[in-house]
Amino acid sequence: MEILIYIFAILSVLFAINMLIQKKMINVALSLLGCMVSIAVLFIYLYATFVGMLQLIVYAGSVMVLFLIIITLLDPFGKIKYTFTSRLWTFFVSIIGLIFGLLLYVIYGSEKKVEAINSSHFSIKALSDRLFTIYLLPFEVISILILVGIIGSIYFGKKNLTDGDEDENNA
Amino acid sequence: MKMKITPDFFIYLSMVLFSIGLIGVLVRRNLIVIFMFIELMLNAVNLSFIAYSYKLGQVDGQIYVFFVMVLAAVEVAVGLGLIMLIYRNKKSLDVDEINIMKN
Repeated sequence: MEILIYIFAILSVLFAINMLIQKKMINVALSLLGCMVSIAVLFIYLYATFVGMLQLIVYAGSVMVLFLIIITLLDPFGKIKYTFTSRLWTFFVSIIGLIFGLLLYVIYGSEKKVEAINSSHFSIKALSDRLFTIYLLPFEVISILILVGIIGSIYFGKKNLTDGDEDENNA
Repeated sequence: MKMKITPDFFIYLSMVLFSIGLIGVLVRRNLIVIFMFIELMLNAVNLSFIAYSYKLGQVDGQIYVFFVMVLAAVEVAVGLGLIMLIYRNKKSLDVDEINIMKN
């Protein structure tokens, strides 16, 4: 069991590195898909079954389908450019060092001991109990966010939305 | 199911994934690919949420991940609409060529 989890953890990192290396857009998208599926396995191992299935359905399903549709509509085999300057490199190293340092500080500052795990803490019932009582307001607000997203994407999908030259003339 | 892997392992893993995503956002020059790396960073943050939820024995982290997922789905829908619009007007996805706001 544990060896399987280590394999999936390594696999997710390898897929992420593959995303950095690949030159074609479609390969990057498929590597992201593999990475998401590996992370979903890790979620399910950490007792987050509901979220893990949601990861498979929402991320690996619908989000990746959206990405693949857009990529096939545009140029799927176009090469991607890189920028690699030494100034950018030092910037990376400092930013990543900062993140690592901060997170190590947080990890070592926090308590070492793991709470006694009871799988009933993580059941669907416990999750929905909290989601529909304490977190009811965010739950309702996020439905409005979805509505705004739908309206926005319909507006951006309109045909006669052009560069702005005509708009200036009309205004 | 016996637990031998500590939650810290997953937090380190999410750190590594987040760093790779950050490098990708800064290095790659293609709008869609940058967008995918943002999704990778969101996934890494979700993983750390789940790991802490496991470590603390509380289910709240999973609820936050639920909200982040909804947010990411909306973000992808709107963002890909914007990318299509930019491609239709500029015929390019290269962020170096998309400098509409410059003049």
